[in-house]
Amino acid sequence: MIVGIDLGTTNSAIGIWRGDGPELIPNRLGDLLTPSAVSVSDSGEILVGMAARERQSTHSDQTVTAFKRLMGTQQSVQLHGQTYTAEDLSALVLRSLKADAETFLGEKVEEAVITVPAYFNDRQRKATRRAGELAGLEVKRLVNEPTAAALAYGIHQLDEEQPFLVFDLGGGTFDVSIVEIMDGIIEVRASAGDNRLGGEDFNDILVQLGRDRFDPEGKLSVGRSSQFCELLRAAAERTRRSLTEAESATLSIVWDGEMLSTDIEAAEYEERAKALIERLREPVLRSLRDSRIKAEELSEVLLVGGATRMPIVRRAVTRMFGRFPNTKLDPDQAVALGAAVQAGLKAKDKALDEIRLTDVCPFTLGIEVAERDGSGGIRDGVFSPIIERNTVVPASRVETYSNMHAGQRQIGVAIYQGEARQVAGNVKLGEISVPVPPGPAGSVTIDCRFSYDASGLLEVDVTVPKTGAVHQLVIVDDDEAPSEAELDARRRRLAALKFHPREDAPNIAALARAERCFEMFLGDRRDYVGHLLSTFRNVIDGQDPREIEAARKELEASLDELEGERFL
Amino acid sequence: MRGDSGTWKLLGIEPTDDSRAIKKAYAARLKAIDPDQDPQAFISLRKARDTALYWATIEDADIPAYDGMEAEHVGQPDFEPEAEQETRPTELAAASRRPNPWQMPTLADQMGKIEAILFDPAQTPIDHVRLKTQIEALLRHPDMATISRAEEIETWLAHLIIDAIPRSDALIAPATRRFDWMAKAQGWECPWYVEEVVARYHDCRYRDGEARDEHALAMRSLASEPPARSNALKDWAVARFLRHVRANHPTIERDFDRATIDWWDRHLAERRERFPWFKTLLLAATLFAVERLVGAGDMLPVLSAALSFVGAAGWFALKRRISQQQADDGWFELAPLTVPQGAALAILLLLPLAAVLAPRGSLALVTFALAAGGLALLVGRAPPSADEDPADRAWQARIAILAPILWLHASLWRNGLPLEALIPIAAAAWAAFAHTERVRTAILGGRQDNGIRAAIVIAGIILWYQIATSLGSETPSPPMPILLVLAITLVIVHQMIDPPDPWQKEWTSGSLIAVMAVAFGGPILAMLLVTTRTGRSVARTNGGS
Repeated sequence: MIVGIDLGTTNSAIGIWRGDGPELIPNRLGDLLTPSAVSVSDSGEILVGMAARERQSTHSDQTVTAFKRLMGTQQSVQLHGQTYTAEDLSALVLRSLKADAETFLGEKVEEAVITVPAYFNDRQRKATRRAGELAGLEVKRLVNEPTAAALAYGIHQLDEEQPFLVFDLGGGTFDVSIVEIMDGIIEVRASAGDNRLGGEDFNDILVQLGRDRFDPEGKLSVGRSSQFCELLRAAAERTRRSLTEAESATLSIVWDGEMLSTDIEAAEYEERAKALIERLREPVLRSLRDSRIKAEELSEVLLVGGATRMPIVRRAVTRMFGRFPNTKLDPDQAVALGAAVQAGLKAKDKALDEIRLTDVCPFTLGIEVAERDGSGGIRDGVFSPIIERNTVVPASRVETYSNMHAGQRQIGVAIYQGEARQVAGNVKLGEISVPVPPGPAGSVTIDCRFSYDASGLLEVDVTVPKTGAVHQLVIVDDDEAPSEAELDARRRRLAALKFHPREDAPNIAALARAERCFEMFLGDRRDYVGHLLSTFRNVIDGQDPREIEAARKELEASLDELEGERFL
Repeated sequence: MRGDSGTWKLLGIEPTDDSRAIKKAYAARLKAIDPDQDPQAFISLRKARDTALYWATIEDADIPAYDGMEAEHVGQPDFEPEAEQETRPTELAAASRRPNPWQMPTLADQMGKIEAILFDPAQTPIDHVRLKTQIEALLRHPDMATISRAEEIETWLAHLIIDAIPRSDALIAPATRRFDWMAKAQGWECPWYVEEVVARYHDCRYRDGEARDEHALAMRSLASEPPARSNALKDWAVARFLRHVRANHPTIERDFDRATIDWWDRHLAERRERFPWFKTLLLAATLFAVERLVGAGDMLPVLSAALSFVGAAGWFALKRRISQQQADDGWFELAPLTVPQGAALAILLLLPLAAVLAPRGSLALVTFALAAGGLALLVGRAPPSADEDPADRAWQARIAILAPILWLHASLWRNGLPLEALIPIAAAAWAAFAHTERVRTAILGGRQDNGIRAAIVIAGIILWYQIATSLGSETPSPPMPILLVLAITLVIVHQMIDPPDPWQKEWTSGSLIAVMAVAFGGPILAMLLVTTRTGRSVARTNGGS
């Protein structure tokens, strides 16, 4: 069974292809979305999902969220004395999703299609693939998120013949894809994006606003600045969601036993978010340019990703295209549903026999070259593209280069990804040095072949026609590529981590939420939550499952009343 | 039939211009293959589709009904935004699928105003402030929020700026800010018009900054009416300015009156066609006169003058090379000399005078030892180019050190031992020829090999000196043709090291090959000559006794 997984910055989801359509699998709490949060309990057990999210403000040093933003970097996080990389944390989330799916389906799940932001670079993609492997999943394919969303939309619109645009603003990344459907071929024409822009950035604005209001001189939070920020961040998420419906919302936190509260006007928030909104424009322009499609030729503009719920984003999109976007898709589920469709495609499901998907590589790939300028000097560090961005994948291209100096014995081939003219502005993927026979300048040539597969992984072959030698370079990141043994060790280490018992998860989540509420409120309401908490703890100690469930429902209802409904 | 038959065979259809049919055929074929299992099959199919579509669109473009047909396929009902979001003027609903920017009343008004200011010849000089207000109003127009409008305006504006250079200079800064053209120009596939606007921006900055100091005379000359009579300095300044501007800042030319530029071009071309024969002869005559004044047979002053000349030229070339490497964008900018550099240059230039005035003896030797050391440093310490072969570099250094030693050797024993001196020189010449490829690039290639070039030139000059002394050891004065050739060589060498124009460089490199051939053929000739002479004199001595 192949599953489709949306591994998001804020939330993740898992789905399967059911023969007639994609379906999402509920997690242990019965939710279709699982927060991408990992927490370690005091006893050293791992908590994933809602329970971890709820602990974010109360146990900020034991909880991590939004680690997808660190994917492909060497940064690590300390939790309960243990070091975790973003890959490890993603693997924990994937493992939790896998366990949910196995319980739900009653069979082993070993293969998966995982989505990544289209604008993830090679490093980030490899890290995602490794995370899947660490979680015990064979990653059959990495799919670009907007492509997945287009797939979820496209399989119901197969007779649609005009290109449409997918506008995917998620928790941490922003992607745009232009998709065209023709006779069951769902074809991505162009993708562009910004892998450092998402809903979290909008939260940061509110956090900043809150800091300016509560603590302009930084006196309150001396030495505990990160904890202050975490508290604000948790509150900011709620405020941002309220601002979706109302013209103003309250941002309040409890700090040192004191209630800090302020009203935030939608207008003020929007003024501050203007710079972020501006950044939405460039990727849209680029994708339109690359696909040579005019904005008015688009049949639809599909909104995907939780952050597109914000009215400010919707207004910006409306202004950009001079029309209202299509909001029929559930912005949180579309990507996971699309991943499930891709899983079905991958499994060669009969119902999908008439459907094919082609994607593009969103970055330009090329090598570093030196060239002579008009006055005979040498300019080095120039980027020479081989596979241009938005080429349909799988793709394979060859370019020929020659030696710069007479008698040169070696030609260095450094591989880069990016759009800048100077390689210094691009991401270096690898390097290979090819021995060549000496000869006059320009007389010795090498052929560089770049092959890019459907998951977005690159292979480079360098041939020297004079000697017939072929040098191959499978791109592995020089500094961070772990060996097989290392991976095994990490896999064992992660497997040895104790997960909190699955059956307990709803209770833990409810407890964590109640604890957070206890810290959030003051006075009577705090006493009331404290009372609720101790009652619930007593019931749990009683160990009667039915009683516990009834008590939990009651607790959740009371908390809903107090702070508004729980959200994902 | 267009395209190769393989294309259509892969798609499984007859050649056609119908894009839809091609896409349908591609879709059908694609379903039969699995790109994951057989990427090569997919890549060839995709290529076939792209080729076929390319041919189809080329053909389409020739059919007049194209626009109408296209509109039927992709045309769509116009979208009316609801009252809440008044982002487009109502007139737009009636606009065609690709609305011409001029059909939008408000934006078009604004565009019209700008064009009116730009292209009104009555408004000279142009009112920059008014232009700036108008462009700001255009860029802040609410319609600019819509992508398609903004893109049209962007293209229009870029073209307008390019067309109206230099009158449009005031538009560049606000437009560049608004459309982020600076960042776009960093990308490798930026549209040409954006690149050109950004280039103009940089050109303006250069014109108002550096050029004001460095090319003041040239800019003044070009800004005024063509002079009735020009002088050498003006010619040189204007030629240098035009050469630099055309290579690096092409749009600056448009700041000046077309007719004036044309006049200067004609004038400079006329000048350039005359090779400085007179100067060559004058230089030869001067050298000859100096040689005669100082004393028959003593070539030291002439040689030191020659060496200083080459040294100074080499110094400049070296300097340029250093600054060229330092410039980020690869274009060299001639940096001003530092105080020690200037002092070194002055000493080098004063050496010939010192040589003439200094009394014969140890002081002269010390002076020339200094000169030799300076030269060795100049040539040997040249910074390596980006990825030079270390072995070649070692040879350069060896030759560079060898040359002044040989020179000293020759000056110490200038009345004897020419034969022994010729052997290492021949070895050095052989070494240079062993690297013929590098010698070739040194002569014909760019400027990056000045070190080895200077070394070769010095070796050549010393060869000539050797020949001269070996011949002169018996006769009191060296034969005149040698001096003449030496002078010509010097002029050519100078032109080679710092050629004023590409065509001159080609001319001189051609002649220099001939001169070099003689220079390196010289040792053999000289050896033969000396041996026969020595043999003859020995025979005569024998005969006499």
